[in-house]
Amino acid sequence: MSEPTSPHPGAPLQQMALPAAIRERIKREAEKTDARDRQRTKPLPARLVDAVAGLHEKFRDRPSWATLRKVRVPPRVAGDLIKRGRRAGLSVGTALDRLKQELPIAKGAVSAERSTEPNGDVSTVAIRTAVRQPSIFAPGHLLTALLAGGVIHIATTFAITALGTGSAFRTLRNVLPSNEFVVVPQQAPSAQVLPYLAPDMLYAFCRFDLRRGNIEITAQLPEAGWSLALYTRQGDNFYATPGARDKPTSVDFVLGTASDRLVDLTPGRRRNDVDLSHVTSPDVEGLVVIRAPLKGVSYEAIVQAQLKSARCSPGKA
Amino acid sequence: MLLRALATVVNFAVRGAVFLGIAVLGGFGSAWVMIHSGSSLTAATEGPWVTWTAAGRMDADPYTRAHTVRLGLLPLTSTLAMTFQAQTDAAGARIHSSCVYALDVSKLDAEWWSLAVFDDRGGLIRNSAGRYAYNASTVLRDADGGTRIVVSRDARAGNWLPTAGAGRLILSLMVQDPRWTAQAANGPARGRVLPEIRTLSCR
Repeated sequence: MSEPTSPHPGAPLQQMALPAAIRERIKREAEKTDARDRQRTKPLPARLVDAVAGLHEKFRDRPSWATLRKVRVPPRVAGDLIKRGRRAGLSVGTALDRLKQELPIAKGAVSAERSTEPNGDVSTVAIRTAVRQPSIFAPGHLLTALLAGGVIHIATTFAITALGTGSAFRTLRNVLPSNEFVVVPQQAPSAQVLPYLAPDMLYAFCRFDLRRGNIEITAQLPEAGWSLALYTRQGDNFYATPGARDKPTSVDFVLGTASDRLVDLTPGRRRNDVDLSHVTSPDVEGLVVIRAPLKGVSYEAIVQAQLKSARCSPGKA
Repeated sequence: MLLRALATVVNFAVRGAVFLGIAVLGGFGSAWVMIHSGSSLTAATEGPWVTWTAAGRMDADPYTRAHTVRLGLLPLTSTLAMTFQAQTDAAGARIHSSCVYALDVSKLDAEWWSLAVFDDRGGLIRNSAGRYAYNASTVLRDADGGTRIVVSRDARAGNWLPTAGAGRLILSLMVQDPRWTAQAANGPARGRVLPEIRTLSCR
């Protein structure tokens, strides 16, 4: 025969009419959990309690500022007061440090929870004490901080590329017309287009825009050191042709997107008289750069003329 | 009560500071180091010369791509050309405009190379000679076949790269030669031909 149970499971234990045996059992359990709690919770050190009590006494009867202003203090007494003030400050600081170390343990949350025994009796009040770990140096906190740091690291790395702030394309986008080569003057401190650009070369830039169709690119690379390179907005070099040492290299191709190529919109696909190779751009915008090495000042005019003969124009459909 | 509140505030402040230090500073700081200076995963080092091995390539790693974007570079793909940068001399001291440096480029047998000096932000250094770089065509060779470039503030005979009073310097060596870059993918071969940066004197 089981002992009576509470008709209202949520009702406080004090309001229930329990048999004496059960009450005795609950009392024993409570004493046990109290003893266990005393073992697990760390009391504040007596010295700390004394220190705090002393501070409280010291500052309880302090004079008001109005009274202090009227007092004329001789230098020796003032010096003594300053010393005492420093000592008091030190005591407060020390007490704060101690409290910081001890409080998180002392305030360990104690929660009461009523449980039901397997036979359905309400018999035990289980007191569970959660002693909080006091420190940031707990493994969980460190792991969380490291994980957050990792997320910030990865997000920063990808955000720089995705946003493109400071990229060469972003710098040149507003100064270059689209689908047209521009030969820039030789790099000099007052006219430097991009950082770390080799100053003993001349450059022709074309900002291509494939949203309105394909671009036809034509250039001559007379000798070694010359190159023609295509870049995405992020500065990925997706196509490059170097000049050769023995003979000039002719570059002639249509630049388009992958979708244009898929539906055969390039001239070579639709007209038999046009035979152009096709380069697929991974991006609808980007840069074409021709680099021409300068052998000396006297070559500048010749090289500029060769660069100006390059074409970067909408393709003939 | 006041002391308890103060202690709690101090406790949270300490926890917050440590958390922010590890998460925010650690996250941003490590990303900055990896993007700005590179690591053995992304950059190859030969003496003082550093090159980003995947620079310009479509399959470049995220750090190399972020490096390219952040500095506003347009690198040729590393299968066609390689750019080496040096911020220190052979002894590991920071290259500075108050010192005189000599580079022997006679072993550099690539079709095209160009050696330029920049300030530490990639800007050209203003100088009265209007000289900012030497390349395979413009460098003067000694009678004995040797080729030496002197980097200094004051004028020198021969191949002189002026540094004016720019402070910290960066030497940039661009080599454009597919055959050379293919061989240079092998570290020791690259080390044999890259010029040593010797400090001759300092002010």
